[in-house]
Amino acid sequence: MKLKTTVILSSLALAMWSSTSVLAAGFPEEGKRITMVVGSGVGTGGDIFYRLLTKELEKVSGKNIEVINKDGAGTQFALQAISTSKPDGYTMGQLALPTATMIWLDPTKQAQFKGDSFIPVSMVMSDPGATAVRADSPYKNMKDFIDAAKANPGKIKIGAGARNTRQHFDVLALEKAAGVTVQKVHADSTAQPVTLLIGGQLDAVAESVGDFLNMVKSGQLRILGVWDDKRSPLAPEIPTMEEQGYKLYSGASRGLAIPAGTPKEAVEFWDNAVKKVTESAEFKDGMAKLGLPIKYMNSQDYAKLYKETEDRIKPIMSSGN
Amino acid sequence: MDAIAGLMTGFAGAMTPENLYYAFIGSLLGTLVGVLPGVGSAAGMAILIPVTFNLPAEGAIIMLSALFYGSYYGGTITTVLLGIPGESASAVTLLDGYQMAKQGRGGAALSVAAIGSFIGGTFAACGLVVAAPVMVQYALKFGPTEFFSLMIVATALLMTFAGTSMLKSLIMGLFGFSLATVGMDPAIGIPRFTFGRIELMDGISFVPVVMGLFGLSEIFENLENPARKVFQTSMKSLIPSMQDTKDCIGPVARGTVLGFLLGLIPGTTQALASFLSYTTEVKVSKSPERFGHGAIEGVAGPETANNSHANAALIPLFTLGIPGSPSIAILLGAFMMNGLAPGPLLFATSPKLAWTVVASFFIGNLMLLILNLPAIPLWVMILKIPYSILNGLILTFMLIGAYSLSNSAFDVGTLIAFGVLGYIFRKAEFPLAPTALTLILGPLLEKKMRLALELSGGDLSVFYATPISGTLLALAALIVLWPVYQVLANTYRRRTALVK
Repeated sequence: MKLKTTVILSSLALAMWSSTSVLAAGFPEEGKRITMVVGSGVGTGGDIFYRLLTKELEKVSGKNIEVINKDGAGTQFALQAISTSKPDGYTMGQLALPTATMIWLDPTKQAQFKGDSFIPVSMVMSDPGATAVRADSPYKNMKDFIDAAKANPGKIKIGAGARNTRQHFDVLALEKAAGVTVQKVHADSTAQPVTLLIGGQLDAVAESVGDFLNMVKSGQLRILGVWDDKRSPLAPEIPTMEEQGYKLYSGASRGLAIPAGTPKEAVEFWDNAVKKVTESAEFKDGMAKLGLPIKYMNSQDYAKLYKETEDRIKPIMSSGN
Repeated sequence: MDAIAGLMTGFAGAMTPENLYYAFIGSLLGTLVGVLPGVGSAAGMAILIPVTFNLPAEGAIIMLSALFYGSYYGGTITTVLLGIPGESASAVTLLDGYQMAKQGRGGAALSVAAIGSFIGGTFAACGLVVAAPVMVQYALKFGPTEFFSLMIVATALLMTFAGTSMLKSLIMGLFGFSLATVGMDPAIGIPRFTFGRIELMDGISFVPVVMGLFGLSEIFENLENPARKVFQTSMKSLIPSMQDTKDCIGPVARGTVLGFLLGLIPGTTQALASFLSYTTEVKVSKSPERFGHGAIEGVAGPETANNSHANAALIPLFTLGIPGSPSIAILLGAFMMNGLAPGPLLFATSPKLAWTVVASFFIGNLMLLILNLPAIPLWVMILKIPYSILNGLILTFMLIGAYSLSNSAFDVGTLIAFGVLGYIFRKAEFPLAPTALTLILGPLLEKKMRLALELSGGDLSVFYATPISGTLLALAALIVLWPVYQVLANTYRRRTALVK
């Protein structure tokens, strides 16, 4: 049995080793340990995405990158770990917007980092927000839903993420735009409101397109509207909120952050690597399977969005809804 | 029947050499992950995920599933032999399993656990074939309200742990509940009792607490009499006796059904299944005083229940695409990475893959039984190591295990702190089990209650005015009040006897 174990472990190691190649000079020096800090829990959508990205980054950069999960407190642990790591370009990690911004802007979270603790490297994907109902729901589109909410103020139950999250603000924005009030139910994970929706305890759920897509394909859910200015390439048959008369836009983007003070060449190295990854056929294929739309943004553009997000959220967080 | 025909084609697919190979690697790694304290099934699966990128879809899913349910076989080994609960699901097995090992019956405990696990796992896999879609529809009706009431029943069952002093076990139960309030408030999202430490934001981790309270404090206690001999074990004791087998039929049957039903409900955990099974066994036993002193029922029931739960928890994933736990979310990820969407259409759109994977559950469980049973004499040999050396090894494993949970030294500190605390509790003869159990129950209880109230708009009547929840609460009341009634009835009888 010991022999078998050795054989298996060595074959596993071999399988992982064979996928890397050698390249690059200058920054990443040989023999340095490179770490990718992931804030999503092991095996969650976010974690799988970062593992796929890391695997492709390894191919492009020719370096081994170690994924470390620091999950919990809505990526706060991971951000904390990134912000306190050595700014030498060998530690980077998950940056989810606007989730991350909301953490350091929320005083109750007691975050020990701020916007200027990080350099945004590049955006990799962006998943627009979406509102979904059960496939057998009487609400066929956003109008049906809003009409029902108007007829029954405060009665329609909608899963609105955890309190003070993007999903929560989405529902507040919808209430304001449509002039309705709904009953907001806060759950602490994405799977939970979807389970409640399928189980009939909720009437609708606010999350992102990627969170619903599989269940839409399997005929269990229907997305009423995509919170974007154009239809999702992964579900072109679903109308946007804008088409239905609500100028509402939202979504969750994921990219890479590196601690402030990291040399420019390192940031550029990783930004270029990410760019190459987002253009590779394998990554595109993997992302299509995960139901996640690729959206690459270079460090300059991403930094601009990073700043805009902070400016946009600051007044909402301080108004203390 | 369609399902049976489908399963037959599935077996044909699962019996190919490479799929057997994947099931075998998964089972083997699952056992190893279970044996290593601190490395849970989720972490093990995460390590394996990058490897599965390059595998065919069937192979990847077969291997990851086998690792998942296999880890609940392995978890028993360190729990019973060394008193280190490898994961939360086997924490309750420690109460009687470790005592059995001390009495030289460790082999019997492991055999019973392996056989019970096999029966539970296989039954749940049968359930997936036969009745899954219908049952899951009912399970989803089991919302937060019903879940809360079920937790109340579980809390009421804590009374079964009364042991020597009801007061002491209540104190320890409340201690566990108050530990469970540390961390982010589940409804408002504001940190509580974290004293500015972000490590406490997600609450106190369960595994280092249990390893400390039970494992480390045991080592401290052993230091008092360093001359202790090795555990006595003979080959004969490896096989459960006739009496053991007879005692285990009931617990295994109840554990199977309980684990299966709980597994259908997304959000329940294997730890909850094993805990409820244990308390049920104490409750139905004719001699509850034997529990905690090496009762084989206390091993057979929980170990069966957690494997039955692990396999049944795959049912909501296969039929609805709902991941009930982090480990199952990883499996969902494996499906997605291969462009498959588990859910009602899975068996229609990719029947070959779906049935092959289901068939592999039967094969995997059988492999685990075959892997585990002959290895038991080997494992039991660990106990032949002199205690002075074994102590050091256990300590090392616990420290590494605690650190590897989230790559944080904070968990190591938690382990040591609770080790000291556990030692004090032992000296003061406070029972440790109620703390561990309320620490499992606490967060679930609170989360579900607040979610139920958010859904009802703050209306408390949902708890008693709905049929399932109301029945459960009545049951809880009965459990609490029955001993009171018995005492009163006895007093009355004695009085009337005196008057006569």
